[in-house]
Amino acid sequence: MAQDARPALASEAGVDAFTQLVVRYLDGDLDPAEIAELKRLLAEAADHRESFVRACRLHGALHEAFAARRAQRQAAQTGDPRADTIFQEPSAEDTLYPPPKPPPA
Amino acid sequence: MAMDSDRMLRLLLGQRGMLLGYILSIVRDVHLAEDVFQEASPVILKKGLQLKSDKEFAPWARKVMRLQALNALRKHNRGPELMEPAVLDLVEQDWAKQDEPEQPLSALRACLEELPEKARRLIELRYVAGIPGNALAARLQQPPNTIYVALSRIYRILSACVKRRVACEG
Repeated sequence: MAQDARPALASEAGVDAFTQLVVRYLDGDLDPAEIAELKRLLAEAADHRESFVRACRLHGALHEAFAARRAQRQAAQTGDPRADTIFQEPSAEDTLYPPPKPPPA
Repeated sequence: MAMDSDRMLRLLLGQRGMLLGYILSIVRDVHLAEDVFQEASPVILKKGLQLKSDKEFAPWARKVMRLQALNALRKHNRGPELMEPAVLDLVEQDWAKQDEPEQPLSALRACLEELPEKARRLIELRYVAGIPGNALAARLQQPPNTIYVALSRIYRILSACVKRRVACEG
């Protein structure tokens, strides 16, 4: 069945594929069919429920872990004098996937 | 042992990350989640004094947050989409199974330090700058799937690292 195409959670690939679905759900990026699929997976499989909760916990913990820096950044952006340091947002060049370089002329 | 205000505050702050994750699983908007947490906190601090033990705190606090989160969605004319009451009931057992007396952010922070620099930068763009996956993809000129694959791998690495560290510390 097409619905069972997503790998089981026994493998790292399966965990990653399901986590992608959860991360996209948390971003509000799933279409109704994908929401229905996630709902089915949660209803049918205990390992998917466990994995869903683990991802949501980590999502919340990451928000909490970076809360101070986020507030500091927001204060700096709004010119709040309480922002005692300047947050330097990482540039795209510093990140995992730098934009492709233009082809040589 | 009866609860007192200090103990209740310590429990609430110690479980803030878990509770934010729970609220976010329902509302999915970080500003709305913060509002829900702020609005529910006085209720928790007041009514939680009736709890008999620390163990009762996390499941009960989730119930309070759940009501507040669903109300907040209604106020914004939005539905829960996925986390309808039946689904919330279903996953509650898993939230309870993974409850810890405290959610140690120190373990997570240590694990973040262990991430490769580029992975940590990606997490910072998402959680400090607050850029969701699709916008990250546009900004980094990558397909969204590439970003979500990277984020899901980082989640797996961080989850395993936190679990290992908590086990060692415990």
